[in-house]
Amino acid sequence: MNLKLLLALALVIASVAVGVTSFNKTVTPYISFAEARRSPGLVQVNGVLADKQYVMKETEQFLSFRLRDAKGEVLPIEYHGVIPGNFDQATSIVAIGRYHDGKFTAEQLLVKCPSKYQAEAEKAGRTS
Amino acid sequence: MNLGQILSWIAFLASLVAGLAFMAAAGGRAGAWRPARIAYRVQWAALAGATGFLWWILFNHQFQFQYVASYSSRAMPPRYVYAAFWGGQEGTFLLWALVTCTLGLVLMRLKHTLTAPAMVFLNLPLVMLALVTVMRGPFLTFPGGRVPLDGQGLNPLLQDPWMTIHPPVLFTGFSSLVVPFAIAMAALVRRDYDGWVKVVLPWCVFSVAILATGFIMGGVWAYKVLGWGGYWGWDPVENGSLIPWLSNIALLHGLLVQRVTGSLRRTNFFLAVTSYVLVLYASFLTRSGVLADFSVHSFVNLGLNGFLLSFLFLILIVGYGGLLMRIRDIPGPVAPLGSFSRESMMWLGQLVFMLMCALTAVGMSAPLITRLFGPPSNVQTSYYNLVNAPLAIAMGLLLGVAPLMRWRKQETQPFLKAAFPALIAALVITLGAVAVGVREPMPMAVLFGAGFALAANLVVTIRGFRAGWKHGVAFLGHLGAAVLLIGIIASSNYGRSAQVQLPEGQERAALGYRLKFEGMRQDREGKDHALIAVNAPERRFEASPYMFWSEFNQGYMKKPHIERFLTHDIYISPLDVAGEDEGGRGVWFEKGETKQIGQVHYTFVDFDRQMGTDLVRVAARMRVEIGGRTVPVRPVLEMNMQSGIPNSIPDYLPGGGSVQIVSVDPNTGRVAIEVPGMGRTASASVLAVEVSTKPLINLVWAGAVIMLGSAFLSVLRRVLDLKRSAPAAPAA
Repeated sequence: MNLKLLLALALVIASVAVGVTSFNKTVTPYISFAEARRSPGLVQVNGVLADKQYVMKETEQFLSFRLRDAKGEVLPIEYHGVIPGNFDQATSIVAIGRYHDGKFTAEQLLVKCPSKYQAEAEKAGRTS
Repeated sequence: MNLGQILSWIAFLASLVAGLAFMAAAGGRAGAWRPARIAYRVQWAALAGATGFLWWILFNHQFQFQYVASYSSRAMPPRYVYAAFWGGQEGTFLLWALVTCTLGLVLMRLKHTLTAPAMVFLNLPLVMLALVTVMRGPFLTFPGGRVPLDGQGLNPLLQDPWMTIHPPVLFTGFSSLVVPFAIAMAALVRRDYDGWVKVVLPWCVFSVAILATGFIMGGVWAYKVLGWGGYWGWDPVENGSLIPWLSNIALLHGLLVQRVTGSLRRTNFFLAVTSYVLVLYASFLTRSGVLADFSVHSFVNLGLNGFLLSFLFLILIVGYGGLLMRIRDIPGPVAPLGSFSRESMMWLGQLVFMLMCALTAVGMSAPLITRLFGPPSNVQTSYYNLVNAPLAIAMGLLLGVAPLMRWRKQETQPFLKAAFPALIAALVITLGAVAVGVREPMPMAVLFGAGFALAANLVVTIRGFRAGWKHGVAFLGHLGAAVLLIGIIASSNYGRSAQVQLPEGQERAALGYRLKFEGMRQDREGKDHALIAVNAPERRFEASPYMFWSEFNQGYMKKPHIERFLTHDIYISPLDVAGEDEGGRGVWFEKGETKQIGQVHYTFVDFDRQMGTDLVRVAARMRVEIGGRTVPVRPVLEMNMQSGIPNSIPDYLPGGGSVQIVSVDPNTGRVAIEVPGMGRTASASVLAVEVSTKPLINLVWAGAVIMLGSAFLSVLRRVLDLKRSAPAAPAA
């Protein structure tokens, strides 16, 4: 076997190996609050802000709030990091993190903001 | 039916006629060539007309059009009104069609046997795009003749000069991959398995260059405006344009190998088809809403999933089907690739790009893949760094090795002699990095690879340019890539960062810099920014990061201050301004009273009371005049009588700002309301900022600019090559 094929084989095997392990290491299942409470690893949950009684300390980059999912369940969430803009107007919040000691500690937050018009256009699009 | 819809219909019908006529011309009916060209030009004119019409309705605020009302407003400056064109999906489909059609006009001028069949395949996506513009274009009006008084406007984050040109540039790159696809398909039809290489090369380099331009613009915007300190975020939208780009670069290198050695024919056809399939796959992922729960971008499902999927499958079946039909007919390599020659190293480089592309594509498809086995999951962005880092090492080494070798020669001795100084240079760079504090093996290895590539390509670039610019441009591009790689490693791994609170008038230290917050100022446009006197060892400077209230977003917009030095940037990102007194929140209203806050008028009409056994609800009925419209809002305050805990339920203004009750005075019948833009900044006295350093960030920009420059020079070179050989080719 020549050098080129040997190198190619090594590249492919290494890439697949790194790919599979990295995938398993970083994949965050997207699950319900109940499952999140049971799951030990990194998971992803989504919902809406349950109420306006959140604590936001921008200077310390700290955020603590309650997330409510589609079933009406509520999950307390704490987050350290850059606080997404328009946080309190989010129509939907995705939190990636782990559940531990009665609260969910988020490592990353994805925030989606309202675009009232798009929903309207969508409705119009369907009827016309 | 309005003019826009009529033009969309004309474009659609013309695309059908042009498609059939091109097919006839490709089938040997010379008489069909002229009508085909005419129909194609009519199609272009209709698309250009529709584009002009869209701009006209945007600039003239024709809010009866849903698209105009949702992406523009009267208050928007004209230079952003024109960018509202691609503010929404419907507009981007039209832009996509126009760019594709324009590139087809250029391709159509080529006198070559491949031109007619290539036009058939280029026209295929145009039929689909014209169809979607007819079905769901930007020219839908509101049902029942409703005309809103003003539009929603465009997100101010996007109102930046970089953002107005970035989407069309990226779109041009994205769409341009149709040309390599079309030429490859034409070559398969004509069984011209080598002749297409010369024709397709300029297009292939053009796509590489123009997409890279788009990436760089997006990166500059993210770095200068968004304030999170990076330039690439592995977002699905970014990945979506990265994967076809990687596949196209793999194609470019394969074509060069095929041109010299006559091998890699099948691989190149596969890559030409794959690049365009990936364009459509990425469009499907980012536009269909399947990633909606996994991305910061608000992907809205327009109900086009069926269309997007059939578009993808059409190209998939035509592309791979055509290749499979010819696969036995395509001759194998003239001579096997050597084991240690330039072409074999380029083949390996091609493999590295394909692996990067595949692993990135797997990451961005994670929600779809995991759905097959259980709950949909996504990978974190660290996945992309983990999988691409080892490949970056391989890429650096190959970038250095390949140019030092010769085509079709397997010479070990001369190669080692040439590689020795480059290896020494790489070692010096790596040891230098270790001396400044690099300890982790991964960045060290990438730096070694990149250093080797840098040194090797520096030598060959100089040698190449001495022999004529055409011989040096490709190496110059590789030099740029090596510089870029070093810049990425340094700036993203070795910056320092600290958060610091700055009370007004007092000096504080962070990272060895002394910062003094001197208060908030307003610029000529009325935007608030902080003034910070910074005493750095390098020099003293005045930093002015922006932090202003945006009426559009009903939120604070922040923009970092970047102080540039040759070796690093100091990046000062505002986090928060806090007033001394947080107690006096809310504005007090009497019944019937109207107050203006910002540009919005608030009128408190009356209370609605609801008494339960253990819950009291008080709602404030208010009228709000915002952007020429009057809307009712009704914030609610709930009081649990047992626990005594109040719960304030806000209501929202158009645009998303929240209005909520702070407190109610039952004796006087007054209510305190908290509304957006109450001007907390005015009394600000403590500013919190994040100070960070971005070492060698200039290498990122320099590397990118070198790469780009050489890529555009390469386009010129390949066009000249094609022109020189064109007269020899028979006319279509």
